[in-house]
Formats: sequence, C-alpha cells, structure tokens
Amino acid sequence: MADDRELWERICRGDISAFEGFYRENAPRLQAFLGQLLSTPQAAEDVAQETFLQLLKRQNGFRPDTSLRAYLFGIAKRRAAEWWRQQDPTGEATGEGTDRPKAETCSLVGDAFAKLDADQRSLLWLREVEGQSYAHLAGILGIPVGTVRSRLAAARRELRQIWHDGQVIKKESR
Amino acid sequence: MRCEDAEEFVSGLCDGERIPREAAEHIGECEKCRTWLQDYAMLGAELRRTASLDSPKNVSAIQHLLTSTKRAKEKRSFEVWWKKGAEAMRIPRFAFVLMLLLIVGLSSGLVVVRARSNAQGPVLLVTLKLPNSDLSWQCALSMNGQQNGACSGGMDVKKRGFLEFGIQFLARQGDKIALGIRRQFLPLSPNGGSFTFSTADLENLPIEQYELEPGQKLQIDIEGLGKAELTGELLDHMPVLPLAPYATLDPAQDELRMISPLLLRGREAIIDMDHGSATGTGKDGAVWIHAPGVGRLIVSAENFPGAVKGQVSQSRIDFEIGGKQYQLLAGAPITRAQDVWVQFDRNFQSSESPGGAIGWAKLDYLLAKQATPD
Repeated sequence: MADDRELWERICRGDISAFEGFYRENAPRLQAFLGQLLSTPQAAEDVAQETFLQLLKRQNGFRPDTSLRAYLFGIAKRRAAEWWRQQDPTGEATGEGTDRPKAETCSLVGDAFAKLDADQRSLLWLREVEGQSYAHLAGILGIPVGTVRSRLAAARRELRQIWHDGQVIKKESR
Repeated sequence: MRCEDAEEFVSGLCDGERIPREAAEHIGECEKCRTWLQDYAMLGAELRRTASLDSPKNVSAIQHLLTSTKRAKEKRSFEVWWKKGAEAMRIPRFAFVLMLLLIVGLSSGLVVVRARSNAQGPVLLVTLKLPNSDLSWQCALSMNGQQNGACSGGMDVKKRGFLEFGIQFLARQGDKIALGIRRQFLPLSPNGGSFTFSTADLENLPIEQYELEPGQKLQIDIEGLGKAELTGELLDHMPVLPLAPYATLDPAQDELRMISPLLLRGREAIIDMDHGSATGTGKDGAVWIHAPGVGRLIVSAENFPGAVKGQVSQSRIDFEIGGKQYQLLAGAPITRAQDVWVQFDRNFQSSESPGGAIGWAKLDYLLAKQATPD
C-alpha cells in the first residue's frame, strides 16, 4: 500500500513517467476486464480511456487503505454500468452482456462465463483473473467482505451449472 | 454439515481462505463437495487461461508504443528552432506515453495553408502566445492515434532569453483535451551569448498535464517569462504547418526557410524531409538537413568553404556537385536571394539523429562541427 500511495502521490504531482508505468501495467488488464462487461472491444477501449481520465481527475478519490489497481477497477466497474445506462436510458435493457452464446456452443468455459450476469462476471473476473483480495473486491464493488464471499460462491455455482448444462446439451446433440 | 452449507467454504478454499474445521472435515469426506472444489479450480484456471489468450495482443500494442517512443527520443539540437516529423509512430487513441520530435511550428514565418476548422476534427492546432510579446508558437497535434501526436521546439525571445517548449496529446474526452507540457525559459545573461536547443534537455524536464478546451484560453505559467496563453482549434486535417501564424508566403529579409524539403539527385529522391521544416534569419545562418546514410546538406546565403553556388527559383534550388545535377524542392519560397551556397557532405555521419533531422544554425557553428550539433 505504501508503494501505491507513493505512486499515487507522484501521479498527482503530474509525474507522467509514473503514470506511464501504471498505465502500461494496467491498461491491457483493464481493457480485458471491460471486454467481459461491455458489448464490443471498442466500447471497452472507450470506457478504459474514460476510467483513466476519471482516475486523474478525481485525485481525492483514492484511499490509501486500498490498492491503486483496485481503485482503478472500481472506477471501471462504475463506468461500465454507466455506459450501459447510456445505451438504454430507459433502463429496460439489462444487457450488460456480450452476445449470449447458443446452448450447443456452451461447452467452453468462456461461453459459460458470458452467460453470467454482469455483476457475477465482474466479480469472478476480478477475483480469478486479477487476483483481487476480498477486501479490495469489497472496496471495488462497494459491498461488505462477507457479501463478497457469498457472492463469489454463488457466481462459481452459477458458472459451474451453466458450464455443466452446456456439456450435457452438447453431448446429447451429438 | 450439509453440502449447501459447505459450498461457500469450497469457494473460499479456491481463494486461499482458511475455513472452519467442521467445513474442512466435511469437504474432505464429501465426494460432491470435492467435485465442486475441483470444478471451481478448473473453471478459474480456464478463465485465467482464456484471459491470457488476449493479453499478448494488448501488451504488444503498448510495448510497440514504448519501443517507438524510445526510438523517438533521439538527441538533436540547433539554435533558434527546429521542426521535424519524419518518423512514423503508432500512438493508440489513449496513449499516455511520451513522444518527442515530430512536427513543430514556430515563431517567425508564414502560413502556407489556413486550415479548416471542424468541431469534430482529429487534429488540434495549438497556439502559444508569449506574454508581453508578439511572438507566438504554433503546432498541430494529431489525435487519431497515428503519428504527429507531439511536437517541441525552441524560441528565441528577443533580448530576454530562450524558451524551450514541448507539448503532446494525451487523451480526448468530449470537448476536453488532455495535453502534457514541458517548458523551460533560459534568461539571457547580461553578457549576451547564444543558446543551444536540445530535445534531450527538454525530455529531462518534468511534464505537467493540462486540460484544454478548443476555443478557450489556457494560461501556462512559464517561470522567468510570465503567463503564456495557449489556445486550441480543431481541424479536419493535418495542416501544412505555419511557421508562424498570420505571416505571408514571402520570406523576410535575410530569412532562409525550408518547408518539407525534398532533395533530388537527377530523378532520384535522396532526402525526403516530409513534415520537417526550419527557418532562421541572418546572413550568418544556414539551414542544415541530415539524412542518415545519405549525408548532410547545408544551405546558406553566404559563401563558405566547400560550398557550390545554387540558383534559387521560388521554392526550388538547383545546383551541381561532381557533375551531378541536384534539385532541392521545398513547400514554399525559400529565400529572397537569387543565389545560395550549398554543401552536400555524403561522408557526414552522426549517431545523434538516426531518424534524420533538419534545423537552422549559425554557419560557423555548423562548419566547426563534423557532426550534427548537439
């Protein structure tokens, strides 16, 4: 955390090289994360851009008790939700998802993952791929640590179920 | 314990969590829970594997960007000011990376083409107006993620000192454009003297981020000089860059000006300094162009050792060296003089500007150097 705090102070002072390093390390990961939440790679790129800009603008938003990456992903998560709201101002579309795969192609874990709802996708991605701790996940998602634990379990159960059903459907269709 | 109660702990085990003894015992004995554990572990690993499939592409784009940037950080220097834009670089739309050199527009010269404005244009034309002076500095920044996303230059602030300035496009969000700016003012000492501008020096300066809204004025505090005024205008194309706003096509008295020069030997183009320009005023000055592997060309209004006479016709200079005909073509009239003196040193070598460079410098300074001044 001390390193993150120092890095953050350098970024706030306008140290572009510090920001470059942070960007280089995190931009591809952030874009990959957003790619799971948004409908197109272009949208993921746009929201990643907005996320970094917001990070720079709101310099009072980072709390030293969390990690800078967790803070970044928290912003990204909210920006992604905002992006979906902008696509459908009425709020009727719950989209927040990529194109759903057909059942017969559902044997791949990636396809099964895409069928989860957006909250579950982001939670699992941040945990499994980004390796965020429960505490950081709680900060990113704005929920208690205990809720993180139970939601992770639920997301894994759901993912396993979808993946398992897909396997069965595929076998039956042969 | 029931499997349903243990499920959350199975998930916790996947995350390296410690779990209650009772849950641990149940999971150890329960085939169903152990299957869940194996499946969760497998699914997590598969997710990470899938994510890794995307990583190389993303990372390589960034690495390519940084590699390009390192290539771009070449040292070069000359007095008064310079402009260069020959190296191709790829800059993603969201590139928070330094990139120096490339196009530069500077203090005294002309507007060749007045660019069209376009509210959605991908090019930002920035104008820096110095305080207590009629001097201004102009440069066009591409925001489309290709090349020409940064520029830098030095400016002779008469009787006061020398300004080094670098600006780069960082990001754009709606009407707001994030720019990274480096600057340094070197006051003239009481004894006078001259300044040498080096992009390497500029790179060592801290860079600060500013947010510019086209049409609005942004104040840039320059220590020792005061508050300069930066404005921006969106264009729909990369303009043929003005060496200074509101000037004319006609070169000034004793001015030597070279805009995007192309050197032909017979019918062969041997130097193409596209987007690279230089100008300076004074009979003792010269424009130099260095093309690695080709040589260095010096053009001056004054005769100097090793030079041949060249005939000027508006934006073209004809000369002959070693029985071969050369033509130097530029994008605008070069000088008011009818004749100039040209030296083309094919043996000239310098590791300081591997991508090529163009500039204006005092002639004796150039001749004293066997390599590009740095």
